[in-house]
Amino acid sequence: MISSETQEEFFAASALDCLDAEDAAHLQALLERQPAKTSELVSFQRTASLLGLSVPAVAPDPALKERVFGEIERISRRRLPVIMNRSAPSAAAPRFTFDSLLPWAAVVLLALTSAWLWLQNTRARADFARLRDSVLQPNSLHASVLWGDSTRPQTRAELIFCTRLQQGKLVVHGLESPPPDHVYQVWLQTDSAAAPVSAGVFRIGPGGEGEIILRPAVKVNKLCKVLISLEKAGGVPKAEGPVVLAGNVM
Amino acid sequence: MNDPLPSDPEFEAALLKKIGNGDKASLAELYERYSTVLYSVALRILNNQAEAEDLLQDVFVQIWDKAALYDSSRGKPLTWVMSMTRNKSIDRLRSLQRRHRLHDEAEQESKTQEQIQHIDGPDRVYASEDSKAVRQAVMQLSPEQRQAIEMAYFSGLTQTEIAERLKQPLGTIKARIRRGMLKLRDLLEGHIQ
Repeated sequence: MISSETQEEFFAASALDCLDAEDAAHLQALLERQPAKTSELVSFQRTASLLGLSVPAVAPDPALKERVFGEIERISRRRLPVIMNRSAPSAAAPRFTFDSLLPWAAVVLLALTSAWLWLQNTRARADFARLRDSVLQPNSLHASVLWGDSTRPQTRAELIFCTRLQQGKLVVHGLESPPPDHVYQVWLQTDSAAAPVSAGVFRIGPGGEGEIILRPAVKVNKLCKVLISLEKAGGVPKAEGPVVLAGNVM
Repeated sequence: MNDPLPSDPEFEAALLKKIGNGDKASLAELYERYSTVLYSVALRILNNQAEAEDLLQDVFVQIWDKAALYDSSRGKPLTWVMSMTRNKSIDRLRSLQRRHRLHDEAEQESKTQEQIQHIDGPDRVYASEDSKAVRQAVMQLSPEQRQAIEMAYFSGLTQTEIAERLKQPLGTIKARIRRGMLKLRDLLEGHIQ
């Protein structure tokens, strides 16, 4: 328990900023326990704040005023233009420095970066929307499984094709490599053309795997059937060789 | 010396508000009102004209920067800037003491005595009714109480340092400061906002 006299000693010394560290800790603990005591401390602080008025008055050198306001003017000019607007307009234009442009350069850079990101985001959204529309449009998407002929019962291929994008992909499994000077060629049978349309040639890897991105030379509106034939190297404009895989399109 | 302008806390608070909005004319008005009393305090603490002038410049730059932060519920404008001046002066005094180590114990004691004699002198000028009241209240303290309080306020010494310099027990110094501050509080009751 701290006596009232000791408390007053703490308040008086704290107000004069002459409290030793140990007593300062005691005072802090006291105020935490009894916050109402703060008002007494404040009354001592307000008393202490008047002590400066007891000093005999000595006027500063009149030239000091000009120096003080010159310093304030100098500081004001060094600050950002937005802060300079606090002061009344000055007849003399502030001295130009490259440093003063840095904040504006940062703002311009930030604006350009934001615009670029917005543009990229807009493009990405548009691309995604196109893809989503294509995929979700039921009439534009076609799929098929192709099976090998009787000599290749383990061979098969999967196809997916989008008529809206005019693109597709075909993946082949378990197909032997073609004989020398020959390639496998993909054909798309549509409802509008009498003969199948070439969609490209592809290679077979060591494991009998092959794949091809399909980009038909003519527009395909409705896909009916997919064929893979063995043709001469480089491919041919019209199917001539034996059909090794075929499948109807769903 | 020009007569100091009369103290008007409401007007001065309005000046601070305008200064916070960037009004240099209001700052000039405040300078006219406060520069003498603030310079006097700085000079008393620093005991050096050039240092006191630099200090006053720092104070008015800070007023220019911080005027918008002034809260009238926490005291009169004058006590706000007075505290600012006192604290800055003490900081600068300690910095100077660390740098130059000029203030040995004997010098400090001598100055303290000199300051007390100076206050007792006849050439006193007051800035306001508050100044008169404070001066009269301080004069009603015992010399020992006044000395201890002034060593704390104007020299920035802790109670332990004051006790060492005056070669008095710490408890004695604490009691002098307590009694002196209680008396000042009672005497200045009408002037404390």
